[in-house]
Amino acid sequence: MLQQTTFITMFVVILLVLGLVLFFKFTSASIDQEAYEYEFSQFQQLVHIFPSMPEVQCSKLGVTEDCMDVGKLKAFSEISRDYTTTFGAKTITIKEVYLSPFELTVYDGKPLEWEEERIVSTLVSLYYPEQKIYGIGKLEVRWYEGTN
Amino acid sequence: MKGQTDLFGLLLIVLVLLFTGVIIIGILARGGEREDSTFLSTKANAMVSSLVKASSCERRLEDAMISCCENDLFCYQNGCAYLQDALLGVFEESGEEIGFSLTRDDGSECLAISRCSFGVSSSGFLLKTESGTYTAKVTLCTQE
Repeated sequence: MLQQTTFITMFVVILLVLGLVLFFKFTSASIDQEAYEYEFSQFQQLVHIFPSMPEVQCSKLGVTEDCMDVGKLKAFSEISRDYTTTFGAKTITIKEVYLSPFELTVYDGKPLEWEEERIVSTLVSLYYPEQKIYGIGKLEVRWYEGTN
Repeated sequence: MKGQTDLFGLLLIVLVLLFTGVIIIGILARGGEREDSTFLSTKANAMVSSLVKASSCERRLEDAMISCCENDLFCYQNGCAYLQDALLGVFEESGEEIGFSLTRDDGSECLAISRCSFGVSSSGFLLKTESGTYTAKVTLCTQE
């Protein structure tokens, strides 16, 4: 009888310890996963947020329009190094897919080493102020994961 | 004998906990899919807006869409043929599987470029003219 009680007590203690270890591992993995998902969602949303930045968005007399100004994009690409803390280890490129060929690396934060590369893209409206015409651009954001 | 009964009881509890865990993980995974669908829907809306606005033949693709629905010429060509060529070129260059539909307000189709079995569609972009209202939609293809 005593042996059985000891055995059951030990079994319960082992189960509890195992449960605690698994719980903490699961909680830790879950927090890591949530942090990653948040970062990934920020990365995905960048293709929608970037065209709305005042630095590149079309505007006329203070009224904004749903497009990206090519003149502003060219100017932004020259000072985009100042945005390293905002964009991090990513590259943002834009390529015309409808009118005459035009391609520009707007931001280049490509690190020397990375573990995984993720790409997200969308089509955006491009405005060429010199010709006063609208094209269609492919906005592509690359995220380099696992950088030091 | 009593110890064996206790063991079975504990085993049952562990199994119930595991089962509950699996159900919770399943629910969490479904939440992720919903977020992805929202992202694709926003992307499709941005795409249809950029297509409509694009300049073409000193006018806009929006005018080509209207010409297509009204069986008119656009840039000395059949409106629908011109529009289809332009859209297929854009979709090809974009490197993504994209579908497009243009319908009249009575539901009849002006042009449909169907390239996927499953997909996430944009909201309808309304093109209003004196003759009627036409709706342009973009569909981003998905696995299921």
